[in-house]
Amino acid sequence: MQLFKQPTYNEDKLVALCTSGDRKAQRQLYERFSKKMFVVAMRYSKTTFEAEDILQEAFVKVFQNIAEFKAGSTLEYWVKRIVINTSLKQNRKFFDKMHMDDVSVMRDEPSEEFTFTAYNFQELLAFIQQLPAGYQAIFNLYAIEGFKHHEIAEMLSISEGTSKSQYARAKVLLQKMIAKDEDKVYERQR
Amino acid sequence: MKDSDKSFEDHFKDVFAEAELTPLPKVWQGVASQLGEDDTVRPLYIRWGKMAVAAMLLIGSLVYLAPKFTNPSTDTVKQNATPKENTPTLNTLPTEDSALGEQQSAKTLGPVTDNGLNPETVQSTEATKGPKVDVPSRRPARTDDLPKEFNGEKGYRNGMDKKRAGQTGAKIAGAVPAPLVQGEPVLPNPQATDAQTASPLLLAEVRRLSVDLKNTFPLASLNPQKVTLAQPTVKEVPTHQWWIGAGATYNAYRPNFSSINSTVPSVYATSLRAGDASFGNTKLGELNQQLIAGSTVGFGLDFGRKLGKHWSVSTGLIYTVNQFQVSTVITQTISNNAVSRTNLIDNTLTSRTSYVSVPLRVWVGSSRPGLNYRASAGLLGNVLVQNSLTSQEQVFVSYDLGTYRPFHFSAMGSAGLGYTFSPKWGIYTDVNYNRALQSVYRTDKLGATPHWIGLSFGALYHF
Repeated sequence: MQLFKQPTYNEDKLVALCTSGDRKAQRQLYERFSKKMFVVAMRYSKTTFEAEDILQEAFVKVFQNIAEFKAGSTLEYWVKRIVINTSLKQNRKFFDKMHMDDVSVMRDEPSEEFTFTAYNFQELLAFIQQLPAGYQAIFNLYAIEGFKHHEIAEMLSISEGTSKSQYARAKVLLQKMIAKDEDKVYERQR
Repeated sequence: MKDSDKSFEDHFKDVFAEAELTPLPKVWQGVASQLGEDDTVRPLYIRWGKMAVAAMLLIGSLVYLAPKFTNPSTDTVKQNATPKENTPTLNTLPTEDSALGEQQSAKTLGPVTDNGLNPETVQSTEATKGPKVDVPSRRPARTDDLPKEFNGEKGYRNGMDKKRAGQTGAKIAGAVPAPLVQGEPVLPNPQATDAQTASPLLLAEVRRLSVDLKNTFPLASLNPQKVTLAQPTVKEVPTHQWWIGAGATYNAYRPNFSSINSTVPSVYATSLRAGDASFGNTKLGELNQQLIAGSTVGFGLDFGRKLGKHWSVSTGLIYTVNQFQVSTVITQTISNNAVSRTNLIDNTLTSRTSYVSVPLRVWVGSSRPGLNYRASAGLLGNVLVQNSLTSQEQVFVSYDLGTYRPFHFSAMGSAGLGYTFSPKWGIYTDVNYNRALQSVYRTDKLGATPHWIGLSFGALYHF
């Protein structure tokens, strides 16, 4: 029970107050989105500390640029894009190495039977964090955020083919990780 | 089973669509500091603390200043307001131009009535058999010695307003029931019945008047109001039955968690994601938890009534803020391409809980002036105002705390010292202990019966 609860503002009011620098409103906006955005930052980082840095930097950008937010669009999506862009900026050095990759080197990895639906988000998050940085970003952008390969290519300044090959490899790596984990679980249960 | 590409991607989308993890408070602190302005969202207890400090200062000022502005004789007058039947009365000194005054001057200085003598005065004069003391003759009083209210038509000294004189005399009689003869007081006969009722206060008054007369002070010095301004020499026992108080408490708080379900990995965490199992190339290892207890504060208003010489009951309103932190550190080992890396994942939970409590307490103690003792025992009904620690998912750790009870009972006891420095005002300091009578969290995973020891300070006003 909250006797002294702060009023909950709607999105337009919240944006207006944040634009005017109201710290209480900024705190409310942060509380509203920080938990989801922390998961986003975790998906693009290797450690919790790295994710916290990304989250902090992203929210500073959110509040510094909130005047540019256009009414009518979704605030959550706008904040999420800032978190993603901040994450990608942190990993920019890894994307430079991906120019050499090409779709021609893609090969069909042996498919194994696996059941990934048994894993919750924290376990899948642990798998994603183990992917090499470039694979990790492209897998997140394509499989989870839903961007097309040509959009990813534009965002990361790489070729569309590189994006496709990186995604394919990321997917194979994930399947291997899951299969390996299933083997361990199976062996332990025997 | 082989999942299709579509279901593979959809599954990841679905799993992460509503996924949430709570970042550490330091992230917001970092954001706020980078934005460059002070955080205007001040914790509630700081705002309440400021109000409590202001209230304490106000009360302290009143306590300090009240005795200076309070006429100490007022209470004396009230207590002695009922004149004894045979108690001699004093009104004022006679003047030489008053025949009535001359008649009375050899006897007592009773109030002037319609028949020239106050029956009570006559009676008391006869009963008073103290020795008379010869004194030098006084300078005749002149009308220019008198203040205006004693002069002219309204001055009863000139016999102009006998009715008023009688009334005034009655007031004086109530104020200073001491027998006097002209120039010198007649001390009460110790053997006389009436004299037995004389108090040290009366003697003090009489002696003071004597000094006044020897110095041939103007008659105005015997203004009834001035007579009653004499300082009381008798300490009075407060007779006030009610009190209201305000105080603050500093608590050493413990949430007192206990594990109910033995299958949980720790007292606080109810599940460790993936347990100790290895999955992928990650292994979750040791889990260390630490409770960081916080000091807390409370502010209260007290309203009580005396039931007898030593016993009292009270109720009131108390606002308490309790704080602590739980730090969970998990060792995470990641092996990748023969390179092993160890991360320490630190999840720190901060709990801030505040209540408004209504106590019902029974007190025992002394009520004498000065230093006294006090002790109490009672029950409190605690209404939850705010609870920041709820069930949540942290990195690899789940905390299932159930729901926090919106209301619970607790028991408390206290012992301390008080100091009553006027009939109305006093201060106190208590050591108190408070413990919840039931678990404040509703869950089958753990129990929590918070308890704390506190040190209180406050002020009391009796009325």
